[in-house]
Amino acid sequence: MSTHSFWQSNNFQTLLIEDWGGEYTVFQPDSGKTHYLNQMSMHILSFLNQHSASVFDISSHLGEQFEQNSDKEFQQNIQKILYHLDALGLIKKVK
Amino acid sequence: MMVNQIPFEEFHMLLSKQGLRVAVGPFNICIHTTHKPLATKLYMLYRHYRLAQDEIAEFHVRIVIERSFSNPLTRKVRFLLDGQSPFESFPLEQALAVLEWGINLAIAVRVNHLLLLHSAVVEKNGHVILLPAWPGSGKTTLCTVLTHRGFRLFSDEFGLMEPHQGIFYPIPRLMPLKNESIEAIRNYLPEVVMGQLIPNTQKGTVAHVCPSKESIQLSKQVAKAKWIIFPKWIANAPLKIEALSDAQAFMLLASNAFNYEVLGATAFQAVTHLISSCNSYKLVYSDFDEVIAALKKLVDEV
Repeated sequence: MSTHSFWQSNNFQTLLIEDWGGEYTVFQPDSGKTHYLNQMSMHILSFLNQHSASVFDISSHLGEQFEQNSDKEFQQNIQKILYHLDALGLIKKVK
Repeated sequence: MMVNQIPFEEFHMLLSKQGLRVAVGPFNICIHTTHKPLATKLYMLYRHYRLAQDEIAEFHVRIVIERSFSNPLTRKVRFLLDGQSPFESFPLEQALAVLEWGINLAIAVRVNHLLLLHSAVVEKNGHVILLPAWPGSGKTTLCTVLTHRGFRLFSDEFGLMEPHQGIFYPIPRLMPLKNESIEAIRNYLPEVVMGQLIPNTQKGTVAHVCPSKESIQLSKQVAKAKWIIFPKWIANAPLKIEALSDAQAFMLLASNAFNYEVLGATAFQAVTHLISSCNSYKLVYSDFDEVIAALKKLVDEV
């Protein structure tokens, strides 16, 4: 997964999302599956609903949100989450 | 009229001719068999169920006897649902277990107007406690204990939930104890009405516990849930009840339902509403007295 790839959410408007106080259950009509997302994953998903973005863009944004250094380790964690969201079909690569 | 209000000869004739129709919770089940030893067992274990001979049956099930191809001298039993055979044939002496599994299968695959949670369900003080668990967690054993100590049986297997109103329907059926739990229950509940041991089944030795007469008679009384408790029996473990986050409870419940994905968004919304209206816990126990006391205390705190 290249750090130069751009990502965006996939059919975000069709999702049913329930907030359980920082934990989320998400029903995805396309697959009929329900997913569990933590706060970080949900932030990424909703950020990618507003903009298509690279890992770098996402890391910078979330670094500010979660008051963390957007260092290499943080970017690797973001990449893992993107890989997971992509596997679930919740996001897609646009470039 | 209840099953025990007709003589065995009439019961057997119904089973072997037009089919015996019994009301089990919200469904009527029509059972056919000519296998007399099975009829004898059913007459004892189904004695408190209401006969529904003139009513429409949702499920038509049959236990037939057939010769083994490999050994023509051996007779086996086969379960049929609307004439279709979902299983292989089984040894003759397992007829009751096969019938009960078959009826569970029929409910699990045919009922989609209700959300079918994989859960034992009991009622106390007008509210339902869901006890969802994976196989082997001891939910049937716990359910048997609770329903002989002041809790009403809804089911040891199915949380039948009307998805829009969150109402649970009782479906009190025979409770199949397995292996070590049979002796544990015999020791703890000497008054329990239990069928004969059925050894060497796919699940080991099985014995069926008859639901209480009261649970069967009250099977039209629905209720809403107030607690979701995920039980786990661990030998010699001290009793532990821990609150579970709503999101965790949601995922455990949804991933352990029979038809959640079939119902899709309806099921998601139903489980969301259910979780919002319940307190969820994880329970570890080993001692029956302790777990009964803990659950009674929990429900009495309302």
